[in-house]
Amino acid sequence: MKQSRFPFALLLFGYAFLYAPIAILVTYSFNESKLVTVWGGFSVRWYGELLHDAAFVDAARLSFEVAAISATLSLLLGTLAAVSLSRGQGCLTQSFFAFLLGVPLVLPDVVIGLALLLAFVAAADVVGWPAERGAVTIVIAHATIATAYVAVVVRARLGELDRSLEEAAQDLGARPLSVFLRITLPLLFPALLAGWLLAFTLSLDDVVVAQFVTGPGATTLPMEIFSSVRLGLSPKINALGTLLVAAASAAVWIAWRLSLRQK
Amino acid sequence: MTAAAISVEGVAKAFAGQPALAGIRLDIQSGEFFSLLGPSGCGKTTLLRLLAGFEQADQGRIVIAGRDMAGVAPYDRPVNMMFQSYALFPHMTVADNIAFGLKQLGMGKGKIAERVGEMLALVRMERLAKRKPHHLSGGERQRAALARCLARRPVVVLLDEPMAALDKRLREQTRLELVEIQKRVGTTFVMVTHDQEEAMAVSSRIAVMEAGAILQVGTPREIYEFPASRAVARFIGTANLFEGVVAQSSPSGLSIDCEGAKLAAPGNFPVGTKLGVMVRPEKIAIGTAPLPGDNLLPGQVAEISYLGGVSEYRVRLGSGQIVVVAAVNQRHAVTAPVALGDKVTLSWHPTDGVALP
Amino acid sequence: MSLQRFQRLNFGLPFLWMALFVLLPVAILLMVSLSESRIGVPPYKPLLEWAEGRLVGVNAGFASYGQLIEDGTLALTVVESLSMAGLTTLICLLLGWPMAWAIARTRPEGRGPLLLLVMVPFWTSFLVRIYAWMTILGDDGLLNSLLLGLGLIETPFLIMNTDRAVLIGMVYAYLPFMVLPLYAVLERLDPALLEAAGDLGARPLRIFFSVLLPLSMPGVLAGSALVFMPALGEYVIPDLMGGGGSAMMGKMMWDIFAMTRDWPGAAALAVVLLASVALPLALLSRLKRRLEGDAA
Repeated sequence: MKQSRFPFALLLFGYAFLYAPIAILVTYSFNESKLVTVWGGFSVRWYGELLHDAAFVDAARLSFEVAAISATLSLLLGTLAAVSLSRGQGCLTQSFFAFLLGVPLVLPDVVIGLALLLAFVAAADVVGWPAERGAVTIVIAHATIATAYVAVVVRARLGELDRSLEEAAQDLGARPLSVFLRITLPLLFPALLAGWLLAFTLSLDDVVVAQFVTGPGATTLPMEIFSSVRLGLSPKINALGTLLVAAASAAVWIAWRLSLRQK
Repeated sequence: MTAAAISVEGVAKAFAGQPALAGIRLDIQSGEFFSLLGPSGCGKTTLLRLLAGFEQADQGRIVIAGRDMAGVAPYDRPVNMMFQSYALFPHMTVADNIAFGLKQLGMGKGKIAERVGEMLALVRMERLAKRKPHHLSGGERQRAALARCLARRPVVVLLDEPMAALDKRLREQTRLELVEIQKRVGTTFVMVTHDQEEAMAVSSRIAVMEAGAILQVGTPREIYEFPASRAVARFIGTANLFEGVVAQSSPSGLSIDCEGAKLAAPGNFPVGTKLGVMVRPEKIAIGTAPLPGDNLLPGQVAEISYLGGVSEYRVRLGSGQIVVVAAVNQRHAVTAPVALGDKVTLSWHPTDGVALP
Repeated sequence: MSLQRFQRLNFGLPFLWMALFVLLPVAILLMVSLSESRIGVPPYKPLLEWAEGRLVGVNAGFASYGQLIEDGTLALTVVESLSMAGLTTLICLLLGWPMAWAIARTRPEGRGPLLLLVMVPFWTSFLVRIYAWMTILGDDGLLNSLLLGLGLIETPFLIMNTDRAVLIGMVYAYLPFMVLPLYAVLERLDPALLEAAGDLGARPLRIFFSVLLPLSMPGVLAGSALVFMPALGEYVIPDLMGGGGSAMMGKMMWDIFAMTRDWPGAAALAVVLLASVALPLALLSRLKRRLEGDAA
């Protein structure tokens, strides 16, 4: 069959659609002018102003901390969940657990955010904890959502794994814990890395849930961006966006090279 | 008689109410190359996994090297298994794969290196020690898996369809290597296979299994020449069965009435018993000249398959039954001794038939 | 450590966590949606009133739901959300299918980078990308300056703070979620199927409708679910790009929660949103089972 050109034209259009805003963002981050839409010559002054803006720097630090902690927590919980789900006998408790793990994947962020906030408020009322909402409650919320994603990634990898590898290790005298540490875990490593990165990114990108469950004094980077964008366009956001795009592109590119080498 | 390496005593196993094995009794002697042969789903792999300890028997006892294996975990059993997929750890080199089981024994580093070297030499893989399984050919993977199995010096090596992942030519070659290595180390091998040719070629004894039961245990020759039942006769090789009724029974054998023809076969059954006379294709002679005597069946050649060394003839009897006859092509000739459509007479020696009730 | 204890820990820890932070919060959400609003901390009355260890009253009712229906908020917001999410899904499908097909038909070594290009935006800050669109679509934004400068238009296009802007933003944000599952299905499609269809006399359009589209159905369903569900509850895009007029459920809920501080009302709307996600999902899983049944 003769290949139609139409899909390829749409592919090009799609890429243009996906990347035009990013290209404009990057270009205008080097704009001297204070007006976002008027080109006033090349300059890096907005990068400088960004780095001296204490609110942004503090928010960035908090965001990275929250992302790192919640990603690590969700990696632990999600991996345990995935392992126990794929190794279980499929009893009723298990299918209920699988259902619970699926809930954060489908619930809109606003619903999760509100539900968690109401739960934190009620818990503070009943058991006195958490006395104050802030970084800790954001970490809990992010870890909960990311656990569901990590479990999906790890379960997919566990499904591909040849079960006889673990049996072979047992057959060669390794006890269950040793089988898990020396065979299962190393073989899961790429999935664990992918899961952690996914959890980290989800946390770093979330504004909705964080906005619900945060308290006074805890402002993450997305929250800071969100409130500053609401107030109006600012060239500083262009500079920040460029930095974030550069970091993400580098991470994706490195991950891709690594996955190529592993093959 | 040597000591039994494995005793299986009345073992039964069911999965979710579906019986997989029932009343299995089996003794495997030390140093044997024993095969469990049967179609897929006959329970042979379940039996192997029971021996390895991956499944627990619902009933009965498994004794390995004199020790009851009830409740003994796979990692505490003196057996090692070679998996159908070989299950080589993909993140370890060949040498690390072989060393894995030794490390679990708490062996010293020097001793492990020594044993790994020994095993690599046994399977001729010294030069591939630092390779990852991903970079090995199918045959090399199989040898690495075997070395890993043997490294712990188990009492029994269990092999689950060891040749299934190899192509046909490699299979025949590795078969010989496997037997040679088994002879050299002297360890008891228990192999699961669905390939009868493979089982016959390597085994000292074979257990033929069907639907969760053992039909017959014997040497390859016993099983082929003296099958104990119609099922075994049909499963192993090609069998021609002639149904009839015992007309005479004497110490020298049976005379069986088979749709007008008189067939002779050894055996001892009362007169009037309905039974089948099983004759292997290569035992039957095919001729154009009519002969007098027993075991004579007239027919017409319906099909000829020339296979090089042998020719297979399909002969239609008066009853419509098709008889398969295999004849060695001994003469160097362009034309076949018997042609399609020829009227022929089939005959065989009276002791070559097996009477099966 | 014994096998059983190891497995119990495996199972118990994440189960406890998910029960505490998913099951319990959703239950509390349901409860609050049934409670009565009040001024105070927290701004709702407890469902059960206790006095001297005795239950003296139950304050549960559907007043918040009734209020939403009465003042027309519910109908407005549900229709708006469903139509916006539906349109977003449709546009993503129309654009995403050919994209996925084009990637799947590229030489194998070229597919990795092309896919990567689809995924990179997903890994970059969502807010920042939406912000970039705001600079483009604003009344004095780049698009309007360009068109005005070229003399193509005389008055600026009004895009920002309309549903059109929300639609552009949502298609932009969710397009990768459509392309990836479609690609996964189309890539596995045997090219010989197309040749066979062509060989049997089918014209390209016919091949598309009777072979390609039915075979890509699992991807179409998965992609549509991945776009439709988050789009339905989207909050950031309508808030930033839709202006005050946007009545999508996510934004409406936040406004009720943060502006009016009517927590039971917000909770009731959240429950409606939850139901409108769960319903299509249940339908989808039934449809998927039917598709799989066909295949078997």
